[in-house]
Amino acid sequence: MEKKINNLSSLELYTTILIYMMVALVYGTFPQMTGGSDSWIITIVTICIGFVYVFLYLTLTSNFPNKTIFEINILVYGKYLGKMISILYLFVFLSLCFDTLLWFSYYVEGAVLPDSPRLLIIVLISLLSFYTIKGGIISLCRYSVILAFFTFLELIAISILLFEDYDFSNLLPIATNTPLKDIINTAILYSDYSYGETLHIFFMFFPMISNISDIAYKKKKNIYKILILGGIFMLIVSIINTAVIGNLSFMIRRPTLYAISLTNIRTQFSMEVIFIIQFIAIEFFIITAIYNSIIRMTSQLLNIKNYRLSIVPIGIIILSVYYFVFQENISEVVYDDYYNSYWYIYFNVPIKLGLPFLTLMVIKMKKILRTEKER
Amino acid sequence: MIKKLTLLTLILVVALLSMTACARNIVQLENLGLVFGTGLDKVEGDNEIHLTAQVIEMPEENKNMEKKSGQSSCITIQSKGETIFEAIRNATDKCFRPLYFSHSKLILFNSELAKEGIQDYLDMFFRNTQPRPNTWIVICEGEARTILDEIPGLFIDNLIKTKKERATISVQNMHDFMTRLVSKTTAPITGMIRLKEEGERIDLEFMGTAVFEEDKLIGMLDEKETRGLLWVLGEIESNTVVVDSADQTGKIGVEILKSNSKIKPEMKNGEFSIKIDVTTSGRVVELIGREDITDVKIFKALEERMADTIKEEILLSIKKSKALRADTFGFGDEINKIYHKEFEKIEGAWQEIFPKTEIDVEVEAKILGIGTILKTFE
Repeated sequence: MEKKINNLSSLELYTTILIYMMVALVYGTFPQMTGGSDSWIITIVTICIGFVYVFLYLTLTSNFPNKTIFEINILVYGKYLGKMISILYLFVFLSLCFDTLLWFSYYVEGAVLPDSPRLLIIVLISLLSFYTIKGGIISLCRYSVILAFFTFLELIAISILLFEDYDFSNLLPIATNTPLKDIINTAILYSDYSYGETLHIFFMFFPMISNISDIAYKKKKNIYKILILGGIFMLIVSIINTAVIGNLSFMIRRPTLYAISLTNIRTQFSMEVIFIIQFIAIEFFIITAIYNSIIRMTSQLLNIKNYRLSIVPIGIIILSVYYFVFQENISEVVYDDYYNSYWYIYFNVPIKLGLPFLTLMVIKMKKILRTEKER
Repeated sequence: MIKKLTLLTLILVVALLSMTACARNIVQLENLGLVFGTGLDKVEGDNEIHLTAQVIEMPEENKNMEKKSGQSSCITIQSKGETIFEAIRNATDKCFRPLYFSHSKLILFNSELAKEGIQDYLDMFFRNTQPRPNTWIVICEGEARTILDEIPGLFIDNLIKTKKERATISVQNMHDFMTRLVSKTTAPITGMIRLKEEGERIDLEFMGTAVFEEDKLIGMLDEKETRGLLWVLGEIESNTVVVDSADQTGKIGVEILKSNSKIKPEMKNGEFSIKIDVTTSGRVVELIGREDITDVKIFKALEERMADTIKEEILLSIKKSKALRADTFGFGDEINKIYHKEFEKIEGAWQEIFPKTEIDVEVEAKILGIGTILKTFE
């Protein structure tokens, strides 16, 4: 069995979770495009839904400390059904993986490296991710502390540099532009990209930490405080983007990058490049966490004791599928429409929210039955 | 350890060779056609778009190829195409260098083309990553090509920045122009220029503010009306107001230090009205005449006259905008922010309602200083 991470500090754990909310700096497109001036309302609804995600994940994993979701499924549902449910999770991990890789390659190609082959960008970041997973995922936690610090610094820098461009009246009129249905739909989608993706941390990462009970399960309040902090970060990003971009929010694909390009110091010092470097650093974290989940889940499903052996074959399969199925065959618009309208709503969200809820219900019922039997 | 180092070296070598795009497509600075100004013209009887790109000249450039822009180190390249992108590609063939728009300072639209609508031409500049949203949009009388042949884009950019600081023009960048264009009620505006020939000397003249209905040019505000507009928009930061002396024989120059404007929409009996509050402060920088501005009564009267002068400019601007039936001030958007439900019903008819809307202007002017001397020399 693989080595466990000893004595992870609370700060390292909290920043690892916080990074998923800080992704709002680059994923902030959804609330802007749907909500415009109401994007901050969508963000608040997102934070509320996000709490449901984390509550489910935290409650479920605290019942089985140091067990991955694969092991929990086997314990709760039995060997065969447990494996079937784990395969569903694996599909979610894979879909997230291809989605993130596509988004990353489009962003980098569109913003900084238009002439570089997209596959090469993906292969390079993947190699780095595989190397990190092989060396031990603890390095990702240590990295998250630095990453969170610099992301926070960047938000402060952006807020100051855009000071002249703020027009807070762009936030008006309140709650009139977007129908409630659209607000909720977008909030579900957005919360899934931010809070929902913490399942990689809770399900596949927490079990690797030996002192997880001391730093997470016994201090649940701190985890929720981190979520609030992340929520505030998301809200600030949303308000800044709306105040600067105004009624063009509905049209802009990369709102924060667009807002940065309006700063007055652009000619002297290209802030966009700093932003893109930060973006690549965050995406590296996200991609590594997803790869880690896929590799560990597959190793457990196939009963491979040393997960390191499966890194290379799984990596080759993922990159081949990404290239031949997604990059070369699916256009950006068709993919976005299909993924966000159907796959997410009917597959990803039900599994990410529904299955943990179902598992918790089964655990509860089993406990009740056991107590009754004992009586 | 050796394995790790080998892997790391391999990654670094691959990254160095490929991420800079050198492997496929060598792009050196001297091989790029750095564009400083773009001009778009309409030629009668030709459906194609006529593009003029003002490109920085390289030392080895064939000087006979295209016309040099004024006395600057820029050359202009003309091309045409069914779309702007095609025209750019055609220009690249002439220039032998790919045109690079990240440093483009302005897009010049010929007024004839602007009368037909410019929205379709802006799409290319927004959709691609090279052009920046803070590129100026300027309308020109006469051919854009002629202006770019004579005046360097960098010079026009500097002139716009200086004039904007002095608040005498209202040139908008792509972002601001598009924000107005997307609005259902606010009329897009931007600066208008032309070439002025005085003997052998050719100068650039700012004519005023071009006013659009949707994306079509419909009229113009002159310099005074433009200032009135800028007072309402709160975009006057540094300017001079010239006030007549009490006996109408002298002039007093007041430098504006600070100004603020508030647009307050009101609704009475289902009808909207607008209240504009402008507050400004300045200091006396020049006195032509014998007026004793140290006298409190005269001083107060001077403040009142200054407020009247500003109010007059604002009213002129409102009158012209109403005549053009173009809400250049963004009153519709302001009403929408506060009375959204009520305004939604009349939004479509705002163009007809705006000229009839009651607009009340209040100006409060304060003079904070009179300079280093008290009375003028006698």
